[in-house]
Amino acid sequence: MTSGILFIIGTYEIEMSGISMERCLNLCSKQGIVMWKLKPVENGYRFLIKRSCYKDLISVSKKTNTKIQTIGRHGLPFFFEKHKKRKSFFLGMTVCVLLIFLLSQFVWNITVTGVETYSKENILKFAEKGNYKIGTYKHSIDCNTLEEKIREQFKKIAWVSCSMTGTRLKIDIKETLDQNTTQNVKKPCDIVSNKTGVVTFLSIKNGTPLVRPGTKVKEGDTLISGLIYYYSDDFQKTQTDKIKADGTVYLKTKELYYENIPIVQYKKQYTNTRNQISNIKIGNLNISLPVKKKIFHTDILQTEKRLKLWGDFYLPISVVFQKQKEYKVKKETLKEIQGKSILKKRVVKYKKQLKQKGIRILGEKITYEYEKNNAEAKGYFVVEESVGKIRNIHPLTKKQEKYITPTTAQPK
Amino acid sequence: MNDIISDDFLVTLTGCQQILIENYKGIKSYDAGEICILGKKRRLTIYGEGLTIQYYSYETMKVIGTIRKLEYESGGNA
Repeated sequence: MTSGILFIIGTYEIEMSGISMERCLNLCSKQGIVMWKLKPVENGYRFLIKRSCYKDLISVSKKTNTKIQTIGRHGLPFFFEKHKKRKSFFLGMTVCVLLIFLLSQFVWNITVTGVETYSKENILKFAEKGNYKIGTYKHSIDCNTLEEKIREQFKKIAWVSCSMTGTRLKIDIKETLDQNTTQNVKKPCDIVSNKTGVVTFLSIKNGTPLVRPGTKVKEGDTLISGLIYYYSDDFQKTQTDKIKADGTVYLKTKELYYENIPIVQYKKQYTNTRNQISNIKIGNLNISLPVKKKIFHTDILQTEKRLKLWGDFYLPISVVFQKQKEYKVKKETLKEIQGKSILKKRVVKYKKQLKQKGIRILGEKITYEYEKNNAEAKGYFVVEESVGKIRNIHPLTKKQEKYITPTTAQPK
Repeated sequence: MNDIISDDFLVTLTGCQQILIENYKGIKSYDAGEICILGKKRRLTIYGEGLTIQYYSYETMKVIGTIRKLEYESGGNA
């Protein structure tokens, strides 16, 4: 910190020698001269002083008969003084700094993570429609509004978080809630079900529960309401409050499973791979570079890499790499055992994916069929999973109000 | 408050690497192994290795290095 300030204000590096050096140092301090990094050297002392104190130091040294030698001059003022004739250099530097500052005020990259059912493109297109596109002034972006809009448009999304880091707009999505997910809403809200099933477990942190273990719920039903009702002694509603509902609800649901594979399969055997740069994009300008023509039976993979200065400071320039993979086609006909084995492996993989998401499998019924053209696996899994997504507060129905009203009746 | 009334040193020692001194008159002698500081009533000598005065002003001085010993002697104006 101190070094940074010294660099900005500019310092002289002084070497002092003579008989009464300590007297000189003490007089300097009394004159208000601050000495930094004061250390003894062979014939005296070496230290740094502010640029503005140099004249005072000279007068004190004359008074005390000490020898002052300037070893170096450090800092920005001296740098500018040395290069004051190079006007175009400073102009360029200023323009560069201004340009970087200007570029840092816009969104140059939008990333979407965590999508499974929906595609990234869908989310990006939706964001673009709502004026959240590349090149937008970043201070005009309201992440809360975008979160709300995404939640309303894409019903299967349970949790969404939008944030601006540097010049990047990050959209983080979760389609299934897990215990580690923390709600990021800033407004009062309800928690509603995103699945149909039976409630098995309920833990409320905030809000009014509208279900209990054993309750059958449909997709969109309110699980925890953000409305808090206050009652008088004679069970009359006196006051209503709105809060952010929070809690964990587990539901027993039925997950349908269907997978089919064609018996006649064409497999690719890759023979040759070629990598090259195909395009350079600067803003909306797309510069296509000459690439070798596509040969028959070739897979083309394109990856776009956005250039960045550091961290999340992305520039509106990107390079498109193209990978051409040539292949030969080989025809294969699956036998019944082979088909079943492939499908079984896929079922195991699917179960693994469910477990990774924190979903507990309670039961399953999968049947395998082998027909003329296809091998099929169909059935269902009975699972227990954490459900719930945020929705703006809806008023309670009369049935719900009756459910939460306290009564004098003994609990069953 | 006591130190100002009694015109004595105000010393803040952080481990054995850093010492902040206030309420002094000036430096009497200084080398890498020993710094002698004059106070209004007594003298303070800092013994150590690689002692450097990070900053020295009218009110405060900060010494860094390996501090081995602090010694007070009476007779600050001496």
